[in-house]
Amino acid sequence: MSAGAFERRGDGGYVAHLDAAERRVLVVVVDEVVELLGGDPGMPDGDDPLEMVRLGVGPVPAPTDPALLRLLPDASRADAAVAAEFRRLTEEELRRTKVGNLLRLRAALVDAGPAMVQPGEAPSLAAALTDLRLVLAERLGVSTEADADELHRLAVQGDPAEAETGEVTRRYLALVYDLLTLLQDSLVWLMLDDLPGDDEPDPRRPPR
Amino acid sequence: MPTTATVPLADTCADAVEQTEAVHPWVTIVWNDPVNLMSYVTWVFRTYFGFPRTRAEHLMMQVHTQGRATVSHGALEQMETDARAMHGFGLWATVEPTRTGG
Repeated sequence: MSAGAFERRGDGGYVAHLDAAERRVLVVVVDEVVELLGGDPGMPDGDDPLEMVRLGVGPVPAPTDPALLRLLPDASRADAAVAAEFRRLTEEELRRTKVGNLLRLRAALVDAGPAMVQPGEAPSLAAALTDLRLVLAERLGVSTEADADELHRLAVQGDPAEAETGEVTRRYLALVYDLLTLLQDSLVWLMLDDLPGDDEPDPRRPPR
Repeated sequence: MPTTATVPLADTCADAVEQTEAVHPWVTIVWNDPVNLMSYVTWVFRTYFGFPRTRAEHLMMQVHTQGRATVSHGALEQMETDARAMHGFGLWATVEPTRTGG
């Protein structure tokens, strides 16, 4: 996979040169995570992707799928009542936000040619890339920094015994994970470069 | 914190703790994970909380090396707003009462 990092364009936007195969693979991963969140990948960006999921008056149970739980985590480790009330009040809107971010990323990927990103939409794309990596990492059993290093080694070097051990799929997913990491890190460094300097601290709640 | 000769030190500390709990009864904690990038966590802390670069990087390193960092304190409702925002970014945050928050 010839991975292209995000670079600055002349007009102030950001661009990543991905080939058609890379874009296709990433769209598949996006669609899986959109569905995991209860959204519909076929919905055009801007439409309500979660029309059937509405804030109810009753409790919202925590997800049993660990990958989904990582996207919609508990807000308290010690106080189940606080966690339950937080989930009841925020989960539906959080799902909606995440699906919206993913559909924006999807739109940037399905266009023919390089993935173009305007600075204004970069934060939601960076968040979407995070969510994709969180789900992949959970599925690949990455729970420590050492696991993450091992996954990167697998992507770069491969496993000499992969033909026998059935590690081909894992290597493939490791390559996808590495590509997502490269895309996110390069995008975020451009976003950091474009922040105001230290002598001008950002206001606490910048308009988004 | 300032102390005076007329007030026993222990009382002053107890008062100060109570005062802190009254003003900032809850904290928001961000937890480490092996996925989130140091660059991204720094960007989140700088843009959402408006921290200067050095403070954002310090807190990011605290998450990275100590497993957690306290990123805000205040009323429960505000901490829940902050935790919700962190979850939107893909960072895992929890809220804790100050008394057990350490």
